[in-house]
Order: sequence, then structure tokens, then C-alpha cells
Amino acid sequence: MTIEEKEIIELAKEDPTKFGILYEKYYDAIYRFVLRRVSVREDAEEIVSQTFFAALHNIKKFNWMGFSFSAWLYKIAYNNVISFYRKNKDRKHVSIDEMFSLSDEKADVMVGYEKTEACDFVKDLFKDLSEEDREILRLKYFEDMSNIDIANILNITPNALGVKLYRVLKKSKGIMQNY
Amino acid sequence: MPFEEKEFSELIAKFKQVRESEKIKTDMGFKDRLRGELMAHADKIVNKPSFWEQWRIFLIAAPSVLGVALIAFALVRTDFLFKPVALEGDKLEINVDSSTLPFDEDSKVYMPGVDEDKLGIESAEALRENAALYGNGGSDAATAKSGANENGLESPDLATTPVPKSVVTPRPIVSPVPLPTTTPALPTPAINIIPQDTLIMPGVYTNPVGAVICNLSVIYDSSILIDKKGDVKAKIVMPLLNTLKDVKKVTVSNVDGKYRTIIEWCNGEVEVKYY
Repeated sequence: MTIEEKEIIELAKEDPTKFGILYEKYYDAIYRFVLRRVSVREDAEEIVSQTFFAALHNIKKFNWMGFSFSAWLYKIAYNNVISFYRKNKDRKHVSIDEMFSLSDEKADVMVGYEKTEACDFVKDLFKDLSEEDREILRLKYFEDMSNIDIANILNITPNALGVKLYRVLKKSKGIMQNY
Repeated sequence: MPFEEKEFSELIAKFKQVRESEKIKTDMGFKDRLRGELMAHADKIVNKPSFWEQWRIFLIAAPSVLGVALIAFALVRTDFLFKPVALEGDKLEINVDSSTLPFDEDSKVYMPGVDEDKLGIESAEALRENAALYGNGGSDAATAKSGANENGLESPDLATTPVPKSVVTPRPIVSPVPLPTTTPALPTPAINIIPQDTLIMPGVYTNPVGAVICNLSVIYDSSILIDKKGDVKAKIVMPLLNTLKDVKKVTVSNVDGKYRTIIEWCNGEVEVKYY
């Protein structure tokens, strides 16, 4: 986190109208993050909206506890996604096939990947991993987050995350070698 | 360099490749709309009224409402809004439905000033004795005289009769007036019943709002006097009450019939209802 961002956050704490700067900076990342988990556009927009409103309301409570502001935002979004599925039990989680085959022009599909060899491998790999392992890989390599930030979002210690990450990578490597 | 980038570099390269191929359809309309909503909300937070501004109306109105309530309460308490059952000095009549009394028609208790045929001068003397026994001061004496008047004695002026200030304590149960030989003995002579179904009831009365209390003194004709109005809990103390337990209602009204009330009692306690 840059000094400039810290200053903006402190400024937004005093004057919520300055929150717009942070919104512009993190909107795309949060929107992508949510879309990868909720493929229907309206649902994703609802969650994104809830996330930013919650952030605006609670920005005064944000403290520098070792993790970044983006991690704080991601955590709000992550909790909103979980809450969304709890409230809407009839909604199915995005399946792995859906996750990697969303590059067509379906009306509701907002995120997808080019159909490459790497994409096929990762799709097959994800099928062999648990939900938690998939989440760790997605946060680490798709959201580009640090271990501390991921640990904060998943409510585990950074050391525990390091161990889990090593295990899942090792498992993935084994799968890749046999692929 | 983190451990995984060496050991799992090939794997991580695939992840990065996938990530780079990611396509996102961003709805800019939604982004702008959400931004507008957020900024409007931020403005509201900034311009949120202070505690005083937010509760100003309530803070101003509350004392006013409280004041009005207090005034209304005071008016009620001072009988300004609610007319009392009766006012000090009013004459009230109390009538009992004799059909509910536990006596048959023949077993009358003779009271002063009622039955000229049966009482006469001797009974008028008995009347005075009875008045003395009731011990109700001038009021009783006057009514006793009033009763006597019906037997041809001097007539008192009720309006000028001094009125006792308070008659709250229960009356002692008094022996009945000696009966003429022509009258059968009473089974329970502890009740005073005047023919024409008029009941003498000493006691304290109030209206339902508890604002007016009337102390009624014992009088030996068909009227009673209100001595005083006060602020005492409504409870009529009547030595006669146990005998009259089957009587459910007694109507009380002033001489003009303007204010009326129903007295109901049960188990020795009497409630005065205003209507």
C-alpha cells in the first residue's frame, strides 16, 4: 500500500465523499472477484453494491492491522458472497465447468477465459481440488493477493495458509505431471 | 523469491496464463450508477444532521405535550372537565330496589317519619331516640325532626341544618326502633329501611375518576345530605351492607335529577359509578 493510498483512506475517513477515489481504484477488482463466484450479472451487481456501501459505512472502523485496504474490501465481498448463497439456497454455486466456459456471449455471462491448453488444465485441476484449495489458488494467482491478505480473508493464520498453499501446489504439481 | 516460484514455476506459469486470458464484460452503466449512489450516500453522511437538528422537533414538542398532559390531568383532578356526582350541599336520593332485599313486604323496619298510621306521636319520640342513637349531629337531628314532621311535629329547615364536615367512619349497627305491637318482629333488625324503599346509607362516595368524594350522613327521610367533597378513596363504609349483600344496585341522584350515579357493591365494598 502506498503512502498516497493511506492518505486517501485517512481522508475518506474524515470526508466520505473522498471514498470515490477508492471506489474507482478497486471497483474492477472487486467486480471481477464477485463475478468469478456469482456468474449472474444481477446477483454480482447486488453483491458489489453491498460491498461498497458496507465499505463506505465502515471505513472509519478500518484500522491498519497488517493487511491491506484491498484485502479488507475483498473480505467484505467474500463475506457478502457467502451470505448471498446462504440467503439464496436455491442458487447453485458456479461450477468449475461454468467457471472456465464463460467466454461465450451469453447475456448473463460476464467473465470467462480463452479456451487454451492452460485453461483446460486448470479447469481439470480444479475439479480434483477441494473448495478451500481452489479458493486459495484463485486468491493467490488470480487475484494476486499476498499470503497475509489471503489469510485475513479466509480467517486463518499466515503460517497455516503457507502450509495449505504448499500442499495444494504440491498436489497440483503431481496432477500436472500426470496430465 | 518465494518458495513456490522455484518449485512450482511451471504450474504458476499456467495459472498466470489463464488469468491473462480472462475476459470480463464490465457494465460501465452499472459502475457509474453505483458511483452516483455511493456519492449521494456519502453526501448524506457528511450532511447528517446533528443530534439537536435530528431531535429538535421532538425536544421542542415533548415539553409541550407534557405540559398539555399535566394541565389536562390538573383539570380532571379539579373537576373542571368532569362533573362530580354531586356537589357539596346537594341533596341526594338513594333508592333501593326492595325486591332484592332479603325481607318480605310485611317485615318492615319502622323508621322515623314514615308511617303515620303506625307510628304517631309515640313513634316520633322513638324517632328522636333513634336519631340520638345514630349520633349524626345536626343532620340527623334535623332529619329526625323532618320525620317527626310527618307525624305532626315541628318541621325543620333542612337547608339551614348544620352539616357535619366528615362522616367517614362506619356507623355502629343500631338496634331498630321499638316496633308497635301491630308490627311483626324483624328477623334481622340491623338494617334500616324506610318504606317507599328509601335506604339510609352513610358513607363516602366518589365518581369514577376519583375526583369527588361525598360524605353522606344518615338522614331519616327520603333524602340525604352531602357534607363535604374531598379526595378520599371511594369506599362506602356501611354497617348495613352485610345485610344488603343481595342488593346489587342503588341509584343516587341529586334533587334535580341532574347527576346520577349507580352504586354497586360486593362483599362489603361499594363502588360508585358515574354516568
